[in-house]
Amino acid sequence: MVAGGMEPAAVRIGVRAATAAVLAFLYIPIGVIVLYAFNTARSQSWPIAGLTTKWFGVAWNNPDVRAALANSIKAALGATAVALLLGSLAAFAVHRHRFFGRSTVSFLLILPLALPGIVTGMALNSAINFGGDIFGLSFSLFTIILGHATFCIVVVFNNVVARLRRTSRSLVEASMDLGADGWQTFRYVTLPSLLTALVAGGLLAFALSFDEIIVTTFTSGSEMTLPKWIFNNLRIPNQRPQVNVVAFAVVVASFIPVYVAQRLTQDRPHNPRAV
Amino acid sequence: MAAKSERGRLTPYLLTLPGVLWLTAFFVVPMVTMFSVSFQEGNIYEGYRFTGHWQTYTDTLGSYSEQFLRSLWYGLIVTAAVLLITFPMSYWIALKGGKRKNLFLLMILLPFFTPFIIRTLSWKLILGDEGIFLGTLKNIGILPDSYQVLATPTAVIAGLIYNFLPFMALPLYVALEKLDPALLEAAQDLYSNKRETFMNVTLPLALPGVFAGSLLTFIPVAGDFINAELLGGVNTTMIGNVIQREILVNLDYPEGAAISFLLMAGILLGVFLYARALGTEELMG
Repeated sequence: MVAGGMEPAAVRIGVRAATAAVLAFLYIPIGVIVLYAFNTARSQSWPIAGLTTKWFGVAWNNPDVRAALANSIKAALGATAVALLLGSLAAFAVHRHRFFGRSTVSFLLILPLALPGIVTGMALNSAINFGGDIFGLSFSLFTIILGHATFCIVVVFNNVVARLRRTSRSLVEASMDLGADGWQTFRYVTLPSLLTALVAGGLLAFALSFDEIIVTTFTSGSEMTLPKWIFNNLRIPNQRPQVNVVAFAVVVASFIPVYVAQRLTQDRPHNPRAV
Repeated sequence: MAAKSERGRLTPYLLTLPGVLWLTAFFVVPMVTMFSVSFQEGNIYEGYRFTGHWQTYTDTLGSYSEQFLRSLWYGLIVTAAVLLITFPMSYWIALKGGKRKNLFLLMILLPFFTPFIIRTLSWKLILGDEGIFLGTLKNIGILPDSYQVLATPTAVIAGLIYNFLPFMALPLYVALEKLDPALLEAAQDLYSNKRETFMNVTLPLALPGVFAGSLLTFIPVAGDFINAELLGGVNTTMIGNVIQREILVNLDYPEGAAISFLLMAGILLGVFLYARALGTEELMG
Protein backbone atom coordinates (compact mmCIF):
# COMPACT_ATOMS: atom_id res chain seq x y z
CA MET A 1 0.00 0.00 0.00
CA VAL A 2 1.26 3.46 -0.85
CA ALA A 3 2.05 5.47 2.28
CA GLY A 4 -0.66 7.99 3.02
CA GLY A 5 -3.02 6.46 0.50
CA MET A 6 -5.35 4.86 2.98
CA GLU A 7 -8.42 7.02 2.47
CA PRO A 8 -10.55 7.07 -0.66
CA ALA A 9 -9.73 9.90 -3.07
CA ALA A 10 -12.89 11.83 -2.19
CA VAL A 11 -11.97 11.97 1.50
CA ARG A 12 -8.39 12.93 0.68
CA ILE A 13 -9.46 15.81 -1.55
CA GLY A 14 -12.11 16.86 0.94
CA VAL A 15 -9.62 17.06 3.81
CA ARG A 16 -7.17 19.04 1.66
CA ALA A 17 -9.89 21.43 0.57
CA ALA A 18 -10.99 21.89 4.19
CA THR A 19 -7.41 22.75 5.18
CA ALA A 20 -7.12 25.27 2.36
CA ALA A 21 -10.50 26.80 3.25
CA VAL A 22 -9.56 27.18 6.92
CA LEU A 23 -6.26 28.83 6.00
CA ALA A 24 -8.12 31.28 3.75
CA PHE A 25 -10.58 31.94 6.58
CA LEU A 26 -7.60 32.69 8.87
CA TYR A 27 -5.84 35.11 6.56
CA ILE A 28 -8.65 37.08 4.92
CA PRO A 29 -9.27 39.22 8.03
CA ILE A 30 -5.55 39.99 8.24
CA GLY A 31 -5.58 41.04 4.59
CA VAL A 32 -8.57 43.27 5.24
CA ILE A 33 -6.69 45.07 8.03
CA VAL A 34 -3.72 45.64 5.71
CA LEU A 35 -5.96 47.00 2.96
CA TYR A 36 -7.97 49.35 5.17
CA ALA A 37 -4.79 50.90 6.61
CA PHE A 38 -4.27 52.49 3.19
CA ASN A 39 -7.88 53.64 2.72
CA THR A 40 -8.20 57.33 1.73
CA ALA A 41 -11.72 57.75 3.12
CA ARG A 42 -12.80 58.02 6.74
CA SER A 43 -15.80 55.88 5.89
CA GLN A 44 -15.37 52.16 6.36
CA SER A 45 -17.54 51.13 3.42
CA TRP A 46 -16.54 48.78 0.62
CA PRO A 47 -14.99 49.12 -1.89
CA ILE A 48 -12.39 51.45 -0.35
CA ALA A 49 -12.18 54.88 -1.96
CA GLY A 50 -8.49 54.83 -2.86
CA LEU A 51 -5.01 54.13 -1.54
CA THR A 52 -2.95 56.50 0.57
CA THR A 53 -0.27 56.44 3.27
CA LYS A 54 -1.33 59.76 4.81
CA TRP A 55 -2.88 58.19 7.95
CA PHE A 56 0.46 56.68 8.93
CA GLY A 57 1.88 60.15 9.54
CA VAL A 58 -1.25 61.26 11.36
CA ALA A 59 -1.17 58.26 13.70
CA TRP A 60 2.58 58.51 14.30
CA ASN A 61 2.22 62.15 15.32
CA ASN A 62 -0.72 61.43 17.63
CA PRO A 63 0.63 61.79 21.21
CA ASP A 64 -2.08 59.45 22.56
CA VAL A 65 -0.96 56.68 20.23
CA ARG A 66 2.67 57.18 21.19
CA ALA A 67 1.86 57.15 24.90
CA ALA A 68 -0.24 54.01 24.52
CA LEU A 69 2.50 52.31 22.53
CA ALA A 70 5.15 53.23 25.11
CA ASN A 71 2.93 51.91 27.92
CA SER A 72 2.25 48.66 26.09
CA ILE A 73 5.97 48.08 25.56
CA LYS A 74 6.79 48.88 29.19
CA ALA A 75 4.03 46.58 30.45
CA ALA A 76 5.12 43.75 28.16
CA LEU A 77 8.78 44.13 29.15
CA GLY A 78 7.88 44.14 32.85
CA ALA A 79 5.59 41.13 32.60
CA THR A 80 8.14 39.23 30.48
CA ALA A 81 10.95 39.90 32.95
CA VAL A 82 8.87 38.62 35.88
CA ALA A 83 7.69 35.62 33.86
CA LEU A 84 11.21 34.67 32.75
CA LEU A 85 12.59 34.73 36.26
CA LEU A 86 9.73 33.05 38.14
CA GLY A 87 8.74 30.70 35.32
CA SER A 88 12.20 29.25 34.72
CA LEU A 89 12.96 28.84 38.44
CA ALA A 90 9.72 26.91 38.90
CA ALA A 91 10.46 24.86 35.77
CA PHE A 92 13.79 23.72 37.23
CA ALA A 93 12.13 22.72 40.49
CA VAL A 94 9.32 20.78 38.83
CA HIS A 95 11.55 19.08 36.27
CA ARG A 96 14.51 18.16 38.47
CA HIS A 97 12.88 17.33 41.76
CA ARG A 98 10.12 15.17 43.17
CA PHE A 99 8.82 17.06 46.18
CA PHE A 100 5.73 17.39 48.34
CA GLY A 101 3.32 19.84 46.70
CA ARG A 102 4.81 19.47 43.21
CA SER A 103 1.47 18.99 41.46
CA THR A 104 -0.07 21.84 43.48
CA VAL A 105 2.65 24.16 42.18
CA SER A 106 1.94 23.12 38.57
CA PHE A 107 -1.77 23.58 39.13
CA LEU A 108 -1.32 27.04 40.64
CA LEU A 109 0.85 28.11 37.69
CA ILE A 110 -1.70 26.99 35.11
CA LEU A 111 -4.78 28.32 36.92
CA PRO A 112 -4.59 31.94 35.65
CA LEU A 113 -4.57 30.61 32.09
CA ALA A 114 -7.31 28.05 32.79
CA LEU A 115 -9.81 30.58 34.12
CA PRO A 116 -11.33 33.22 31.85
CA GLY A 117 -9.35 36.47 31.80
CA ILE A 118 -12.36 38.35 33.07
CA VAL A 119 -12.26 36.44 36.39
CA THR A 120 -8.52 37.14 36.85
CA GLY A 121 -9.14 40.76 35.95
CA MET A 122 -12.09 41.11 38.32
CA ALA A 123 -10.18 39.50 41.20
CA LEU A 124 -7.29 41.95 40.78
CA ASN A 125 -9.76 44.78 40.40
CA SER A 126 -11.36 43.85 43.75
CA ALA A 127 -7.95 43.58 45.41
CA ILE A 128 -6.86 46.99 44.13
CA ASN A 129 -10.16 48.69 44.96
CA PHE A 130 -10.70 47.11 48.36
CA GLY A 131 -7.24 46.07 49.50
CA GLY A 132 -5.35 48.88 47.77
CA ASP A 133 -4.83 50.73 51.04
CA ILE A 134 -3.51 47.64 52.79
CA PHE A 135 -1.19 46.53 49.98
CA GLY A 136 -0.31 50.04 48.82
CA LEU A 137 -1.67 49.42 45.32
CA SER A 138 -3.46 51.81 43.00
CA PHE A 139 -4.35 51.46 39.33
CA SER A 140 -1.18 52.12 37.33
CA LEU A 141 1.27 50.64 34.88
CA PHE A 142 2.44 48.48 37.78
CA THR A 143 -0.98 46.86 38.24
CA ILE A 144 -1.13 46.15 34.49
CA ILE A 145 2.19 44.31 34.84
CA LEU A 146 0.91 42.37 37.86
CA GLY A 147 -2.08 41.16 35.87
CA HIS A 148 -0.11 40.23 32.78
CA ALA A 149 2.68 38.47 34.66
CA THR A 150 0.21 36.10 36.38
CA PHE A 151 -0.66 34.46 33.06
CA CYS A 152 2.77 34.89 31.40
CA ILE A 153 4.64 32.84 34.03
CA VAL A 154 3.09 29.60 32.78
CA VAL A 155 4.16 30.34 29.18
CA VAL A 156 7.85 30.52 30.13
CA PHE A 157 7.39 27.60 32.53
CA ASN A 158 5.98 25.38 29.77
CA ASN A 159 8.71 26.28 27.30
CA VAL A 160 11.52 25.63 29.77
CA VAL A 161 10.02 22.36 31.07
CA ALA A 162 9.62 21.12 27.48
CA ARG A 163 13.26 21.90 26.72
CA LEU A 164 14.56 20.37 29.96
CA ARG A 165 12.70 17.16 29.10
CA ARG A 166 14.42 16.98 25.74
CA THR A 167 17.88 17.89 27.02
CA SER A 168 19.90 14.80 27.70
CA ARG A 169 20.60 14.16 31.36
CA SER A 170 23.89 12.51 30.39
CA LEU A 171 25.35 15.88 29.33
CA VAL A 172 24.99 17.17 32.87
CA GLU A 173 26.45 13.96 34.25
CA ALA A 174 29.35 14.10 31.80
CA SER A 175 30.10 17.65 32.89
CA MET A 176 30.08 16.62 36.55
CA ASP A 177 32.29 13.59 35.82
CA LEU A 178 34.78 15.89 34.13
CA GLY A 179 35.09 17.81 37.36
CA ALA A 180 32.80 20.79 36.82
CA ASP A 181 30.96 21.98 39.91
CA GLY A 182 27.21 22.65 40.00
CA TRP A 183 27.54 26.28 39.00
CA GLN A 184 29.97 25.60 36.14
CA THR A 185 27.69 22.87 34.81
CA PHE A 186 24.75 25.26 34.94
CA ARG A 187 26.71 28.07 33.31
CA TYR A 188 28.37 26.08 30.52
CA VAL A 189 26.00 23.17 29.88
CA THR A 190 22.45 23.78 31.10
CA LEU A 191 22.11 27.47 30.30
CA PRO A 192 23.33 27.30 26.68
CA SER A 193 20.95 24.45 25.94
CA LEU A 194 18.08 26.44 27.49
CA LEU A 195 18.85 29.76 25.90
CA THR A 196 16.62 29.42 22.87
CA ALA A 197 13.75 28.08 25.01
CA LEU A 198 14.09 31.14 27.27
CA VAL A 199 14.13 33.50 24.28
CA ALA A 200 11.11 31.76 22.72
CA GLY A 201 9.17 31.73 26.01
CA GLY A 202 10.05 35.36 26.58
CA LEU A 203 8.90 36.38 23.10
CA LEU A 204 5.59 34.54 23.52
CA ALA A 205 5.07 36.14 26.94
CA PHE A 206 5.82 39.54 25.41
CA ALA A 207 3.34 38.95 22.59
CA LEU A 208 0.63 37.73 25.00
CA SER A 209 1.05 40.77 27.21
CA PHE A 210 1.20 43.18 24.28
CA ASP A 211 -2.13 41.82 22.95
CA GLU A 212 -4.01 41.54 26.19
CA ILE A 213 -7.20 43.54 26.63
CA ILE A 214 -9.56 41.73 29.00
CA VAL A 215 -7.42 41.63 32.16
CA THR A 216 -6.07 45.07 31.21
CA THR A 217 -9.59 46.52 31.16
CA PHE A 218 -9.92 45.73 34.86
CA THR A 219 -6.42 46.50 36.09
CA SER A 220 -5.40 49.64 34.19
CA GLY A 221 -7.63 52.37 35.63
CA SER A 222 -6.99 55.38 33.41
CA GLU A 223 -3.66 54.08 32.06
CA MET A 224 -3.75 53.42 28.33
CA THR A 225 -2.32 50.48 26.38
CA LEU A 226 -2.41 50.08 22.62
CA PRO A 227 -5.23 47.47 22.52
CA LYS A 228 -7.20 49.61 24.97
CA TRP A 229 -6.65 52.72 22.83
CA ILE A 230 -7.98 50.81 19.81
CA PHE A 231 -10.99 49.61 21.78
CA ASN A 232 -11.81 53.13 23.02
CA ASN A 233 -11.37 54.81 19.63
CA LEU A 234 -13.25 52.30 17.49
CA ARG A 235 -16.49 54.05 18.11
CA ILE A 236 -15.27 57.48 17.03
CA PRO A 237 -15.73 57.67 13.22
CA ASN A 238 -13.02 60.34 12.80
CA GLN A 239 -10.49 58.14 14.53
CA ARG A 240 -11.14 55.03 12.47
CA PRO A 241 -8.40 55.63 9.84
CA GLN A 242 -5.86 55.98 12.65
CA VAL A 243 -7.21 52.86 14.37
CA ASN A 244 -6.73 50.93 11.12
CA VAL A 245 -3.18 52.19 10.68
CA VAL A 246 -2.26 51.30 14.27
CA ALA A 247 -3.83 47.87 13.78
CA PHE A 248 -1.75 47.34 10.63
CA ALA A 249 1.47 48.37 12.38
CA VAL A 250 0.75 46.00 15.27
CA VAL A 251 0.02 43.13 12.87
CA VAL A 252 3.38 43.57 11.18
CA ALA A 253 5.21 44.04 14.48
CA SER A 254 3.62 40.98 16.09
CA PHE A 255 4.59 38.61 13.29
CA ILE A 256 8.30 39.19 13.85
CA PRO A 257 8.69 37.80 17.41
CA VAL A 258 6.53 34.78 16.59
CA TYR A 259 8.62 33.96 13.57
CA VAL A 260 11.82 34.24 15.60
CA ALA A 261 10.36 32.14 18.45
CA GLN A 262 9.29 29.46 15.99
CA ARG A 263 12.75 29.30 14.41
CA LEU A 264 14.40 29.02 17.81
CA THR A 265 12.25 26.17 19.09
CA GLN A 266 12.42 24.08 15.94
CA ASP A 267 14.37 20.85 16.26
CA ARG A 268 17.83 21.16 14.83
CA PRO A 269 20.31 18.33 14.41
CA HIS A 270 22.88 19.77 16.79
CA ASN A 271 20.37 20.15 19.61
CA PRO A 272 21.31 17.76 22.37
CA ARG A 273 18.24 15.68 23.03
CA ALA A 274 17.31 12.58 24.91
CA VAL A 275 16.26 9.70 22.70
CA MET B 1 25.56 14.32 41.82
CA ALA B 2 26.11 15.22 45.46
CA ALA B 3 24.30 13.11 48.00
CA LYS B 4 20.88 14.30 49.11
CA SER B 5 21.67 16.85 51.76
CA GLU B 6 19.38 18.98 53.86
CA ARG B 7 20.03 21.81 51.41
CA GLY B 8 19.24 19.52 48.46
CA ARG B 9 15.82 18.75 49.87
CA LEU B 10 15.02 22.42 50.27
CA THR B 11 16.12 23.35 46.74
CA PRO B 12 12.77 22.72 44.96
CA TYR B 13 10.95 24.81 47.55
CA LEU B 14 13.41 27.68 47.19
CA LEU B 15 13.08 27.53 43.40
CA THR B 16 9.28 27.53 43.40
CA LEU B 17 8.94 30.02 46.24
CA PRO B 18 9.12 33.23 44.14
CA GLY B 19 6.51 32.00 41.65
CA VAL B 20 4.23 30.64 44.35
CA LEU B 21 4.50 33.84 46.39
CA TRP B 22 3.76 35.95 43.31
CA LEU B 23 0.69 33.94 42.35
CA THR B 24 -0.51 33.83 45.95
CA ALA B 25 -0.20 37.59 46.32
CA PHE B 26 -1.56 38.57 42.90
CA PHE B 27 -3.95 35.76 42.11
CA VAL B 28 -5.10 33.79 45.17
CA VAL B 29 -5.43 36.75 47.55
CA PRO B 30 -7.33 38.79 44.91
CA MET B 31 -9.68 35.83 44.40
CA VAL B 32 -10.41 35.73 48.13
CA THR B 33 -10.87 39.50 48.15
CA MET B 34 -13.31 39.25 45.26
CA PHE B 35 -15.27 36.59 47.13
CA SER B 36 -15.49 38.82 50.21
CA VAL B 37 -16.46 41.85 48.11
CA SER B 38 -19.42 39.88 46.75
CA PHE B 39 -20.86 39.81 50.30
CA GLN B 40 -20.58 43.56 50.82
CA GLU B 41 -23.35 46.13 50.70
CA GLY B 42 -23.36 49.84 50.07
CA ASN B 43 -22.80 52.28 47.25
CA ILE B 44 -19.97 54.19 45.70
CA TYR B 45 -20.71 57.41 47.65
CA GLU B 46 -20.91 55.99 51.17
CA GLY B 47 -18.56 53.10 50.60
CA TYR B 48 -19.07 49.35 50.83
CA ARG B 49 -19.12 47.29 54.01
CA PHE B 50 -19.00 43.56 54.56
CA THR B 51 -22.43 42.46 55.81
CA GLY B 52 -22.55 38.85 54.64
CA HIS B 53 -25.32 39.85 52.24
CA TRP B 54 -25.58 36.66 50.14
CA GLN B 55 -28.74 37.78 48.32
CA THR B 56 -26.60 39.50 45.67
CA TYR B 57 -26.02 36.01 44.32
CA THR B 58 -29.69 35.11 43.99
CA ASP B 59 -30.54 38.59 42.69
CA THR B 60 -27.92 38.50 39.93
CA LEU B 61 -28.81 34.96 38.95
CA GLY B 62 -32.39 36.17 38.52
CA SER B 63 -31.60 39.41 36.70
CA TYR B 64 -28.93 38.06 34.40
CA SER B 65 -30.02 34.48 33.78
CA GLU B 66 -30.48 35.41 30.12
CA GLN B 67 -26.84 36.53 29.77
CA PHE B 68 -25.57 33.53 31.74
CA LEU B 69 -27.46 31.15 29.47
CA ARG B 70 -26.39 33.02 26.36
CA SER B 71 -22.70 32.80 27.32
CA LEU B 72 -23.13 29.09 27.96
CA TRP B 73 -24.98 28.60 24.68
CA TYR B 74 -22.51 30.60 22.58
CA GLY B 75 -19.68 28.72 24.29
CA LEU B 76 -21.17 25.38 23.30
CA ILE B 77 -21.91 26.43 19.71
CA VAL B 78 -18.45 27.89 19.21
CA THR B 79 -16.72 24.86 20.75
CA ALA B 80 -18.65 22.44 18.51
CA ALA B 81 -18.03 24.63 15.44
CA VAL B 82 -14.27 24.95 15.93
CA LEU B 83 -14.03 21.21 16.57
CA LEU B 84 -15.74 20.49 13.23
CA ILE B 85 -13.70 23.12 11.40
CA THR B 86 -10.27 22.22 12.76
CA PHE B 87 -10.47 18.42 12.96
CA PRO B 88 -9.94 17.67 9.23
CA MET B 89 -7.19 20.26 9.06
CA SER B 90 -5.34 19.06 12.17
CA TYR B 91 -5.70 15.49 10.94
CA TRP B 92 -4.27 16.33 7.54
CA ILE B 93 -1.33 18.30 8.92
CA ALA B 94 -0.50 15.73 11.61
CA LEU B 95 -0.67 12.66 9.36
CA LYS B 96 0.01 14.00 5.87
CA GLY B 97 1.98 17.16 6.57
CA GLY B 98 5.33 15.47 6.10
CA LYS B 99 8.29 17.81 6.26
CA ARG B 100 6.08 20.86 6.04
CA LYS B 101 4.27 20.17 9.33
CA ASN B 102 6.01 23.00 11.14
CA LEU B 103 5.32 25.42 8.31
CA PHE B 104 1.60 24.59 8.33
CA LEU B 105 1.50 24.91 12.09
CA LEU B 106 3.15 28.30 11.91
CA MET B 107 0.63 29.35 9.27
CA ILE B 108 -2.24 28.46 11.60
CA LEU B 109 -0.70 30.20 14.58
CA LEU B 110 0.56 33.35 12.94
CA PRO B 111 -2.78 35.19 12.63
CA PHE B 112 -3.37 34.67 16.33
CA PHE B 113 -0.48 36.79 17.38
CA THR B 114 -2.32 39.69 15.90
CA PRO B 115 -4.01 41.26 18.91
CA PHE B 116 -7.42 39.85 19.66
CA ILE B 117 -8.99 43.30 19.42
CA ILE B 118 -7.60 43.80 15.91
CA ARG B 119 -8.92 40.46 14.69
CA THR B 120 -12.33 41.40 15.99
CA LEU B 121 -12.06 44.83 14.40
CA SER B 122 -11.40 43.15 11.07
CA TRP B 123 -14.62 41.16 11.38
CA LYS B 124 -16.43 44.42 11.99
CA LEU B 125 -15.05 45.66 8.65
CA ILE B 126 -15.96 42.43 6.87
CA LEU B 127 -19.47 42.07 8.28
CA GLY B 128 -20.32 45.80 8.33
CA ASP B 129 -23.58 46.93 6.71
CA GLU B 130 -21.60 48.46 3.83
CA GLY B 131 -18.58 46.21 4.31
CA ILE B 132 -16.80 43.78 2.03
CA PHE B 133 -19.27 40.97 2.36
CA LEU B 134 -22.67 42.62 2.67
CA GLY B 135 -21.71 45.71 0.67
CA THR B 136 -20.78 43.59 -2.32
CA LEU B 137 -23.90 41.46 -2.13
CA LYS B 138 -26.06 44.58 -1.77
CA ASN B 139 -24.38 46.30 -4.73
CA ILE B 140 -25.21 43.43 -7.04
CA GLY B 141 -28.71 43.32 -5.63
CA ILE B 142 -28.70 39.94 -3.95
CA LEU B 143 -29.48 41.39 -0.53
CA PRO B 144 -31.86 44.24 0.37
CA ASP B 145 -30.16 47.44 1.61
CA SER B 146 -31.57 47.02 5.10
CA TYR B 147 -30.05 43.56 5.62
CA GLN B 148 -27.48 43.38 8.42
CA VAL B 149 -25.35 40.82 10.18
CA LEU B 150 -23.65 43.07 12.74
CA ALA B 151 -25.59 43.23 16.02
CA THR B 152 -26.95 39.72 15.45
CA PRO B 153 -25.89 36.48 17.18
CA THR B 154 -24.40 35.31 13.85
CA ALA B 155 -21.82 38.11 13.91
CA VAL B 156 -20.82 37.47 17.53
CA ILE B 157 -20.55 33.71 17.02
CA ALA B 158 -18.54 34.18 13.79
CA GLY B 159 -16.11 36.47 15.58
CA LEU B 160 -15.75 34.05 18.49
CA ILE B 161 -15.16 31.10 16.15
CA TYR B 162 -12.43 33.00 14.36
CA ASN B 163 -10.76 34.24 17.53
CA PHE B 164 -10.65 30.94 19.40
CA LEU B 165 -9.93 28.53 16.55
CA PRO B 166 -6.26 27.82 17.42
CA PHE B 167 -7.17 26.84 20.98
CA MET B 168 -8.79 23.76 19.46
CA ALA B 169 -6.48 23.24 16.47
CA LEU B 170 -3.31 23.01 18.51
CA PRO B 171 -4.29 20.37 21.11
CA LEU B 172 -5.96 18.33 18.33
CA TYR B 173 -2.79 18.46 16.30
CA VAL B 174 -0.66 17.43 19.27
CA ALA B 175 -2.93 14.42 19.96
CA LEU B 176 -3.15 13.34 16.32
CA GLU B 177 0.55 13.78 15.74
CA LYS B 178 1.25 11.06 18.30
CA LEU B 179 -0.94 8.65 16.36
CA ASP B 180 1.20 5.87 14.94
CA PRO B 181 0.29 5.19 11.27
CA ALA B 182 1.16 1.53 11.94
CA LEU B 183 -1.96 1.35 14.14
CA LEU B 184 -4.13 2.43 11.22
CA GLU B 185 -2.51 -0.15 8.99
CA ALA B 186 -2.99 -2.81 11.66
CA ALA B 187 -6.69 -1.96 11.84
CA GLN B 188 -6.97 -2.37 8.08
CA ASP B 189 -5.05 -5.62 8.12
CA LEU B 190 -7.54 -6.85 10.68
CA TYR B 191 -10.35 -6.08 8.19
CA SER B 192 -11.70 -2.82 9.61
CA ASN B 193 -13.22 -0.63 6.95
CA LYS B 194 -12.24 3.07 6.83
CA ARG B 195 -15.15 4.18 8.98
CA GLU B 196 -14.49 1.55 11.62
CA THR B 197 -10.79 2.43 11.64
CA PHE B 198 -11.65 6.07 12.17
CA MET B 199 -14.23 5.39 14.89
CA ASN B 200 -12.25 2.72 16.75
CA VAL B 201 -8.66 3.87 16.35
CA THR B 202 -8.30 7.50 15.29
CA LEU B 203 -11.10 9.04 17.34
CA PRO B 204 -10.30 7.41 20.72
CA LEU B 205 -6.66 8.40 20.33
CA ALA B 206 -7.65 11.98 19.45
CA LEU B 207 -9.91 12.24 22.49
CA PRO B 208 -7.36 13.85 24.85
CA GLY B 209 -6.91 16.57 22.22
CA VAL B 210 -10.66 17.04 21.90
CA PHE B 211 -10.94 17.29 25.67
CA ALA B 212 -8.14 19.83 26.09
CA GLY B 213 -9.25 21.81 23.03
CA SER B 214 -12.86 21.99 24.20
CA LEU B 215 -11.86 23.38 27.58
CA LEU B 216 -9.38 25.85 26.11
CA THR B 217 -12.09 27.10 23.74
CA PHE B 218 -15.18 27.02 25.92
CA ILE B 219 -13.68 28.75 28.96
CA PRO B 220 -12.46 31.98 27.33
CA VAL B 221 -15.51 32.15 25.05
CA ALA B 222 -17.86 31.97 28.03
CA GLY B 223 -16.01 34.86 29.67
CA ASP B 224 -15.54 37.03 26.58
CA PHE B 225 -17.07 40.47 26.17
CA ILE B 226 -15.02 41.99 23.35
CA ASN B 227 -16.81 40.15 20.52
CA ALA B 228 -20.28 40.91 21.85
CA GLU B 229 -19.23 44.53 22.41
CA LEU B 230 -17.81 45.10 18.92
CA LEU B 231 -19.93 42.82 16.77
CA GLY B 232 -23.11 42.40 18.77
CA GLY B 233 -26.09 44.46 19.81
CA VAL B 234 -28.56 44.68 22.68
CA ASN B 235 -29.77 41.13 22.08
CA THR B 236 -26.35 39.50 22.20
CA THR B 237 -24.94 40.74 25.52
CA MET B 238 -22.95 38.06 27.30
CA ILE B 239 -22.15 37.73 30.99
CA GLY B 240 -18.75 39.35 30.40
CA ASN B 241 -20.49 42.50 29.17
CA VAL B 242 -22.57 42.59 32.37
CA ILE B 243 -19.45 42.30 34.56
CA GLN B 244 -17.69 45.00 32.58
CA ARG B 245 -20.68 47.36 32.89
CA GLU B 246 -21.17 46.75 36.61
CA ILE B 247 -17.51 47.41 37.37
CA LEU B 248 -16.53 50.18 34.96
CA VAL B 249 -19.82 52.03 34.47
CA ASN B 250 -22.15 51.35 37.41
CA LEU B 251 -19.31 50.88 39.91
CA ASP B 252 -21.41 48.19 41.61
CA TYR B 253 -18.48 46.14 42.87
CA PRO B 254 -20.37 43.53 44.94
CA GLU B 255 -22.58 42.67 41.98
CA GLY B 256 -19.61 42.43 39.58
CA ALA B 257 -17.76 40.24 42.07
CA ALA B 258 -20.76 37.95 42.61
CA ILE B 259 -21.29 37.47 38.88
CA SER B 260 -17.58 36.74 38.33
CA PHE B 261 -17.66 34.22 41.13
CA LEU B 262 -20.76 32.53 39.70
CA LEU B 263 -19.09 32.40 36.29
CA MET B 264 -15.98 30.82 37.77
CA ALA B 265 -17.95 28.31 39.85
CA GLY B 266 -20.08 27.42 36.82
CA ILE B 267 -17.02 26.84 34.67
CA LEU B 268 -15.27 24.71 37.29
CA LEU B 269 -18.43 22.63 37.74
CA GLY B 270 -18.78 22.24 33.98
CA VAL B 271 -15.15 21.16 33.62
CA PHE B 272 -15.61 18.61 36.41
CA LEU B 273 -18.76 17.13 34.84
CA TYR B 274 -17.19 17.07 31.39
CA ALA B 275 -14.11 15.29 32.73
CA ARG B 276 -16.36 12.75 34.49
CA ALA B 277 -18.42 12.19 31.35
CA LEU B 278 -15.35 11.49 29.23
CA GLY B 279 -13.78 9.36 31.96
CA THR B 280 -10.62 11.38 32.01
CA GLU B 281 -8.38 9.56 34.46
CA GLU B 282 -6.63 8.07 31.47
CA LEU B 283 -7.07 11.20 29.34
CA MET B 284 -5.03 13.40 31.63
CA GLY B 285 -2.12 10.96 31.85
